[in-house]
Amino acid sequence: MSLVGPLLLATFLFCVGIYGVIARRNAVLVLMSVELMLNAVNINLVAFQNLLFPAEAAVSGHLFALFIIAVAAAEVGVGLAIVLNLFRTRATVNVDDVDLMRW
Amino acid sequence: MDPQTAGWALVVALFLPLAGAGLLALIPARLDQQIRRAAVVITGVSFALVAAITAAFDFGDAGTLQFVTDVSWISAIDANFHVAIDGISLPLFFLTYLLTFLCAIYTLSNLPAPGKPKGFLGLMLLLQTGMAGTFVAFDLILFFIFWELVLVPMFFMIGMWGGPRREYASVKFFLYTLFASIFMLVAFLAIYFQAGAETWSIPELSAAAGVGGTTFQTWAFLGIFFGFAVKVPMWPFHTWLPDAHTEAPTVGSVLLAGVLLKMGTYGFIRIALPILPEGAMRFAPMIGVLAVIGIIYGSLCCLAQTDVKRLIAFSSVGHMGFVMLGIAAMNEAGIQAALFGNIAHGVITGMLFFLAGSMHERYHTREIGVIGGGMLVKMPKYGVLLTYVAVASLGLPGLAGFWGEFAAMWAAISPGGDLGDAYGGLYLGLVIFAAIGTVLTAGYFLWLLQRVNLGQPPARWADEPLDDVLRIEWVSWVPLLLLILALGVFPRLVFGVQDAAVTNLMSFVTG
Amino acid sequence: MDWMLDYAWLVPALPLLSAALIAAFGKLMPGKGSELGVLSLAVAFLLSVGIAWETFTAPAPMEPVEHAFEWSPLGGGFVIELGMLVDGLTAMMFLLVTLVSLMVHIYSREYMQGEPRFTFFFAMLSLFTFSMLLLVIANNTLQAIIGWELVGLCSFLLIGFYWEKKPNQDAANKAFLVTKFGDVGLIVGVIVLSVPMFGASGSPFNILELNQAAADGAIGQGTIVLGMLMIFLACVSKSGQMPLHVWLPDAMAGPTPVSALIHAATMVTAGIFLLARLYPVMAQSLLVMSVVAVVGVITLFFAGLVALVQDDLKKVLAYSTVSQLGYMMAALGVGGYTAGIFHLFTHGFFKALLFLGAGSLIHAVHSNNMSDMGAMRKAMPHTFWTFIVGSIALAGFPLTAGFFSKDEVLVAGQYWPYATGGLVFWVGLAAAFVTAFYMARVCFLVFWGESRSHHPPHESGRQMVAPLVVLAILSIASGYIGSPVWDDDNNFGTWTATPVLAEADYPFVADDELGTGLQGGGEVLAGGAQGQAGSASVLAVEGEEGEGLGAGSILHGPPSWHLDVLLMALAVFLAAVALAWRIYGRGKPEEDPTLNMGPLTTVLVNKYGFDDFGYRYIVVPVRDHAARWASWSSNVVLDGIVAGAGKLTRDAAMTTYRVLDQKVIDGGVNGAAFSAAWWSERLKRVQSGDVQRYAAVLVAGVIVLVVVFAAAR
Repeated sequence: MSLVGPLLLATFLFCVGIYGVIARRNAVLVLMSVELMLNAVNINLVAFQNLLFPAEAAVSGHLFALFIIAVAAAEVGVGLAIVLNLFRTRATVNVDDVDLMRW
Repeated sequence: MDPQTAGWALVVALFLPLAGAGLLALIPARLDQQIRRAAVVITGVSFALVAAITAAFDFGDAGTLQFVTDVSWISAIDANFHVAIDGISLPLFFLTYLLTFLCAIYTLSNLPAPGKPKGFLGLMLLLQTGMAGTFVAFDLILFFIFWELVLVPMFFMIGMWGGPRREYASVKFFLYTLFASIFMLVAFLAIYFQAGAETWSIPELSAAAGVGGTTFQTWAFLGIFFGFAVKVPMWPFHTWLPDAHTEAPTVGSVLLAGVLLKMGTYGFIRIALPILPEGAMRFAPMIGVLAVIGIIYGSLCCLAQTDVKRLIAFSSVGHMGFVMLGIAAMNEAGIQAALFGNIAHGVITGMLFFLAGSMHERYHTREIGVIGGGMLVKMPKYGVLLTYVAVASLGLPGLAGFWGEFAAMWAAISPGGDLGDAYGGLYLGLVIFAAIGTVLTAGYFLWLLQRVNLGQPPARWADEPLDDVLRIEWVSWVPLLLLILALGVFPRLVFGVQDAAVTNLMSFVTG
Repeated sequence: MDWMLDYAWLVPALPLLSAALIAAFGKLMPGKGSELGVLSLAVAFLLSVGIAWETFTAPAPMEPVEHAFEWSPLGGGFVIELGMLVDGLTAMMFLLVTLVSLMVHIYSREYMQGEPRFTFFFAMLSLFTFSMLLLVIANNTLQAIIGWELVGLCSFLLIGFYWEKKPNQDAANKAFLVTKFGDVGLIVGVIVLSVPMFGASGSPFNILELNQAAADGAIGQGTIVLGMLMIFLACVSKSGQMPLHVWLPDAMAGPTPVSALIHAATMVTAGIFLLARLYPVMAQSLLVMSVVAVVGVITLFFAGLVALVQDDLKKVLAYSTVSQLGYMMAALGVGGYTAGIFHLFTHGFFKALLFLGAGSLIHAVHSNNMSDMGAMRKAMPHTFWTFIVGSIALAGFPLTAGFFSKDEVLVAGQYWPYATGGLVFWVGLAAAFVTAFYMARVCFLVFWGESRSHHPPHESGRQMVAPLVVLAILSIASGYIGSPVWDDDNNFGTWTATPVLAEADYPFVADDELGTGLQGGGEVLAGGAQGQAGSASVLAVEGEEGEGLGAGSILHGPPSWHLDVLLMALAVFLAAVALAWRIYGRGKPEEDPTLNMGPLTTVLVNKYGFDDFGYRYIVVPVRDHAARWASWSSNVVLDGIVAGAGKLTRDAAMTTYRVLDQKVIDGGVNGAAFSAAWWSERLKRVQSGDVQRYAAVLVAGVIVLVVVFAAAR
C-alpha cells in the first residue's frame, strides 16, 4: 500500500482544520477544527509507522497517536469548559468578541 | 572562635538578618512598637556577632581569607558558595552591620508615611543581607546575586516610603543600576569562559595573573567598569544618585550613601583590578580623569543646590571621586586611600543624611532658603552636630574625611605600573585639580552652614517649638560621631587592618 | 634638664588636654573653664622656657632632637609618623606661642567677661594653641598640614565668634576659603616634595631627611621649584601676603584677643615658620628665593600704605601685620633666614601688645574707630604707655626689639648679591617710614587731642593690664638676644641655626659672585662697630669648631652694628613721626585731613614752599592717592577677583547643573527610557487579542518558511 493515500487524506483534513481555525467565528467550531488537525497528524503517525517501519517492535507512531488522542480529549475538556464559562459571562461564543488579551 | 575554622560564624551573621526578616513577617502588623523593637534586637544580635568576628579576626594575618566557607553550590555551572573575610572586607562588613543597627534604632521613633514598620524593617533586613553578602562573597556568581539582591528592597524603600517624586526616583535607581549590571554579568561570563579553568572563584582568577590577552581584558574591564561606575557613581553616570537620595527615606539615604555606593568601589578593587590588571592599567588614566571631573563637578553642583538633601547627595559624587582617584593611582597607597575614603564617606555622609532627615522632620522642608538660618539659635546642639559633620566632610585633618582625600592625592602623584612614566604629567594635573576640589568642597559646606546654622532664625520659625536632638537620635548618632573622630585620630584603625590585604591584592595587579 | 627636650611633646599636649576639659566640664567650673586654659598654658609656658634654655645654651648648631612613632601604615610600606622635632626654631616658636597664648588667655578672662559662649571661646583658644604647637613641633610635613589646617579651622570659628551678624559670617568664610585655597598649594607641595623621598625611609614626609637631601643636592631642581612654589602659595595665603592678604583685615571681625593671638602673633606667621623650616630646600633655587622676596617686598610696602587711611584701629594694625609679614617673607627671600624669624619673634610680642592694647581701648570706648577715641592717655595711663612702647617697637625706634629685627632684615637685603637684595633694602626702608608714620598717626589720634568717646573711658582691670605690661617689657627686651650687644656665641642666630643650615650653601651663588656683590656694601659694613671688615668674615658663622664657612653659606654669622642702617632707620623714624605730628598732632580725625592740613599748609607754603611740595607731591600722593589706590586695589580689584571668582564659580555651578547635568546628561538617560516607551506604543498594536489572526500569521509564517527552505534546497 502506498503512502500517498493516507498523506493526501491527512493533508486534506489538516487544511480543513486550518481553515476552520482561522475562518470560523464560533469557538466550538474552532475547537472542532483543532481536533481535525490533530487527527490529521494521527493519520500521518499511524501511516508512517505501518508503512515505513512495519517490522519495528517499538511502535512509537502508534503510541504517539494514542498520546495525542488522550491529550486532545483533555484539551477539548478544558476548551469546552472555557467556552462554557465564556458563554455564561458574555452570552456569546463568537471569538471576535473575545479580545481581552488585546494590548 | 578560631578564624581558620569558624566559617559558620560568618554564614550565620550573613543570614541572620534574612531569617530576622522572616521572623518579622510572622508578627501581626498591628504590634507596631514590638516590630520595631524586634528589628533592633535582630540587627543588634547580628552586629554583636560581627563584633565578635572582628574581635576574633586574626589581624596579624589580615592578608589571607579567614572564616572561610567554600562548598559546591550549583555544580552544573561550577558555582560555589564561597564566603570569607579579609582585611579589605572587614571594615566594610563591620560598617554595614553598624549602620543597619543604628538605622533600626533610629526607626524606633522615626518612620515616614505610610508607616508600616513591618514591611519597612523587613526590607531593611533583606537589604542588609544583600549588602553584607557583596562584601564577603568570593565567587562571581554569588557576588552577582548579592549585588542584585540589594536593588529590590532599596527600590521598594524609596518607592513606598520616599518623598513626592519617589516613583520616578525609585524606577530610575532600579533601572539604571540594573542596566549597568547586565554589562557586568556579561563580562563575568566572558571571564569564566576565557579563564579556561572554568571557575568563578575570585581568588583563583586573581591568582591567574590576568585572564586572557590585553584586548580581552580591555573589553571585559569596560563591561565591569560600567557596572561598577554607575553604582559608585562616577561622573557622568551619577544622575540617578541625587534623585534617589533626595526621595529616599532617611534610613534609605543613610544606607545608600553609607554602604551601597561602597559596593561599586569595592567591586573595582576586589574584582576588576586583580582579575583584569592589564585592562585596569589601560583604563586607569581615564578613571582618574573622570574621578577628578567628578570632584570638581560634584562640588560645583553642590554650590547650586537649594535642597539640603540634594546637596549632600551631590557631595557624594565629589567624595567618591577621591575614592576613584585612589583606585586610578593603581598602587597600594591608592587602594588604601580608596578603601579608607569608602569607610570615611560611609560614616560621615551617613551621618549627614541622618541630620538632613531629622532637619526635615522638624522644619518639614529641605529648602535652605525656607529654613533660612539661625539653627544654632533654635537648636544649638543640632547646629553644633551639623557643623562638626560638615567640617569632617570637607576633609579637615583630625577627622575621618582627611585621610582618604589626602592619601588619594598622595598616591596619585606616583601611579603604579608604567603609569608614572606614561602619564606622569596627567597625574600631577589630577592631583592639583583634586586639591582645588577640596577648596570648592569647603566652599559649599561653609556656605551651607552659613545659610542654615548662623544668623537669627526667620520669623516663621521664631515661635515654632523645634525639638533639639532627641534621646533616640543621640543613641543612634553617637557611635557615628565618635567613629568620625576616632578614624581621624587613629587612621590605623582602617589603614592597619587593610595593609596586608592590600599588599596581597596589589601583588596580583602589579606583579 | 636634658629630659625637657624629650618631653617637648607635653607642650602641645597640655593645651589639647585643657581644650578637651574646657569643652567637657568648663561650664561647671567657677571661672567657666578659663582657669583651665590659663593653668595649662602656664605649665606649657614654663616647659617652653626650659626647652628654650636648653636649646639656647646648647653648642651651636644644635643637633635637633627627633622622636617619632609610627602612627599608621599608609600602604606600600610607607607610614604616617607622628613625631616631634625640637631644635632652636621649635623652641623659639614654643616660647612665642605659649607666652602670647598665656597672655591672651589671662587677658580674655576679663575682656570676654559676660560674653555668651565664654566657655566655647576658651576651648577654642586652647585648641588653637594646641594646633599651632602641633604644627611647630611637627617632624614631618604631613603633621604640619594637620596643624596648619586645624589652626585654620580655629581661626574660622573664632573670626565668626559673633556669628549672629552677617559681615562676621562672611569674614569667617572668606578667611577659611582664602587660606584653604592656599592649602591646595601646601598639599600639592608636600606631595611633590615627598616623591624624591620615597626611597629614604618609611615616612616620605620627614622634614630633616628632606632638608638634608635638598642640601646634598639630591632633589631635582624641577621638583624643588614646583614643590616650594606650591608651599609658598600656602604661605602667601596663610601669612597674608599680597594678593591673598584680603582675608586678614576682614578677620578683625573676631574678638580682639583672637586678633592678637591668631591674626598677629602666631597663626599668620605659620607661613614664615614653614618656609624657615624648609629653608634648606628653598635655598636650592634662586627662582623660589626671588619669588618669595618680590612678593614680600610688594606686600611690605603696599600693605603699609593701606594702613594710612584706616579709621578702624584694628584695621590699621591688621594692615600693619600684613606689612610686617612682608618684611619676614622678604628677609627669607634674600637669604636672611635668621633675620626673618627674628622679626617673627619680636613682631609676635609687640604686635600682640598692640592688639591687646587696642582691645583695652575698644573695651573702654565700645568702638573700634579712632574717631571715637582721642585723649585716651589721661583716662588709661597703663594702656597708653604700653601702647606707645609697642608702637615704637613696631616703628623700629632704636634699641627696641623691632629696631634690631628690622635692621637685620634690611642688612640681609644688603648682603644679598642679587637685585632683590637692593629692592628689599630700599623698599624696606621706605616702608619703615610708612610704618612709623601710620603708628604715629594712630598714637596721636588715639591718645592726644580731645576725647570724642561716647562713653566715659576707664582704665581696664588688672587681668588686662598685666599682659600688656609683660608684653611691653618683651617688646623691648626680646630684641637684645639677636643684637650685637649680646654674646657672639649664643645669640638668636646660633639658637635657631640647624646643622643642615650651617653646612648648606646656596648652590647658585658662585664664590666670586657673592664677593663682588658685597664689595659695594663692604665699605659700609666695614664701618660696623665690631669691625667686620671683609665680606668673608661677615658671612662666617662662629661654628662649633670655629670654622669659617664658604661664601655661599646660608647663615650670616653673629649680628653686628651697621651704623649706616641704624642712622637711616633713625632718620626715617624721626621724619615719619615728625610728619605725623604735623598732620595728626591735634588728634582731630573728624576734620577732613586736607582741611586739617589747610592752615599749616598755607603757612608753610608762604614761608618755605617746601611743605607745599611735600604735601602736594608726597603726602597727597602717598596718603590720598597711593594709599587709597592701594586700598582700592586691595578692596575692589583683588577682593573683587576673589568675589568674582566666587560668583563665577557659582554661575558656572548653576550652568553646569541646569544645562549640562539636568538637560544633556540626564536628558540622555531619560531619552533612552522615553524612546523605549515610544516604540512600545507602536509595537503593541500587533497584540490584537484576536486568536485567529495569530493563527493566520502562524500559518503564513510556516508557509513562508517552507517556501524559503524549499528555495534554499
